[in-house]
Amino acid sequence: MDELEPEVIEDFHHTPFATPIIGVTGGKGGVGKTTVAVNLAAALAAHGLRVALVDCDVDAPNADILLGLTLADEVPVTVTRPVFSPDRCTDCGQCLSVCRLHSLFRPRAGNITLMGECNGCEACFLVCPADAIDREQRRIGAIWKGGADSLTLYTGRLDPGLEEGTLVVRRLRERVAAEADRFDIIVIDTAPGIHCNVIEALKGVSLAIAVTEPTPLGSHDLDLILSLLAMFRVRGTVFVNRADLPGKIDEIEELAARRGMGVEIGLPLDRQLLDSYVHGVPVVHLHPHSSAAMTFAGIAGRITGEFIP
Amino acid sequence: MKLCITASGPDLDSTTDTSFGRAPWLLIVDTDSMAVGAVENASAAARQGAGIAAAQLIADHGAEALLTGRVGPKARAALDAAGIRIYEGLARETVRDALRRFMQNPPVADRAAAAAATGGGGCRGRGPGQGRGQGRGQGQCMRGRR
Repeated sequence: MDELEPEVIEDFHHTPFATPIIGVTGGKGGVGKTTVAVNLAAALAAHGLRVALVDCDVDAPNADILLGLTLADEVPVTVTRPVFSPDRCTDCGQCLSVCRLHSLFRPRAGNITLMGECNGCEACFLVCPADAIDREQRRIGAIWKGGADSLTLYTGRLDPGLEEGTLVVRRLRERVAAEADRFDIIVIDTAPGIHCNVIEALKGVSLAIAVTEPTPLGSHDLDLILSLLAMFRVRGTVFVNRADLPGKIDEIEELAARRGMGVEIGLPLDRQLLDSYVHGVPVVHLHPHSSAAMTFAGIAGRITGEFIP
Repeated sequence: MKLCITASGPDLDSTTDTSFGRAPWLLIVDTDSMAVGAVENASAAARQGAGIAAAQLIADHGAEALLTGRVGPKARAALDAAGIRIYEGLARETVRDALRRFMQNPPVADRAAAAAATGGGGCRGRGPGQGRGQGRGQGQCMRGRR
């Protein structure tokens, strides 16, 4: 495994606020990350905490559906695109050499064009000595806020066909950071996978809950996410969903033990959980006395005990 | 005419390289005097935008035409903007042989080839690539990886 520079790890763990963050992730899609995140958030709220739930799966956000919430307060996410003015350009070529994506092209003296992709880094604006570049905003997605009182949902969505998902996650987290002192705890639901979106979403978590299921795909993808957590030195714990599937729980336990992580034999596939999934209401609200609701209440209690002063 | 040929080395005895953005050397041949200028392609290993960077390099060296294997869509747009004619279909051989064949039997430049495609008659296929090269994953989050 590649070793990361210490300052990268330090930066990963730094947050500009003191509110603790719990990440819900898992590698594999469809293992129940959002179910766990939504119910954990609802259980923490029922415990008397002010909770922010952040849906960072910007390719397919859906925590609002499982919570039965209407999203509001839309803020577009844009990136800056440079527009070059030939009148002011002194043809120094500094923007060309600073562009890490090699996206700028100068077919003729004093005539610069954006030819390739632009990630909005703005380096060209910084180096231009003649102020010859204007800013144009390009929309890549939007972020929303919903809910109220004890449970607030923040959601981001990337516009279709684009690849700037990580930037949408970053803006979403910035919005949450600006309001972080209104909450006792933040629960982050990540996308499946181990890509940049997931890394961005998990920044600064005190604990990552890796949700999986006892299937060959579940353990395969669990190993991937556990190696990512190890890479960034994130404290993790494994949560087994659909625990009564006739699969190999011992395989999951072995993977977790190898990383020094504990395993929570989480949820059985029970009727009440399915019921809550079908109705779009967290099971902790719909069936507060079900075994699933008790499981989440137990985790919420332990998290409160450990992270809330 | 100043013709750029993509190559694996800095002289006429080098083997050609059929990719444009990722060719290690860009040889600029003056087809009137046969003088050769070798330009090292500094962006050959760039994660992203190697085609655009190579187009910039040969435009800066005054190339008027390019002979290579295949040009991706972004490099094509850049070359078009600079008015550099594109000849695709370069084979793996020495640059000297490629140049000789080019001079004896000049192929049809890319645009003209596309226009003439309906008439059939020996035009080479265009086959543009996806323009991503090996360069995916310009890390927005992994800077500083050892």
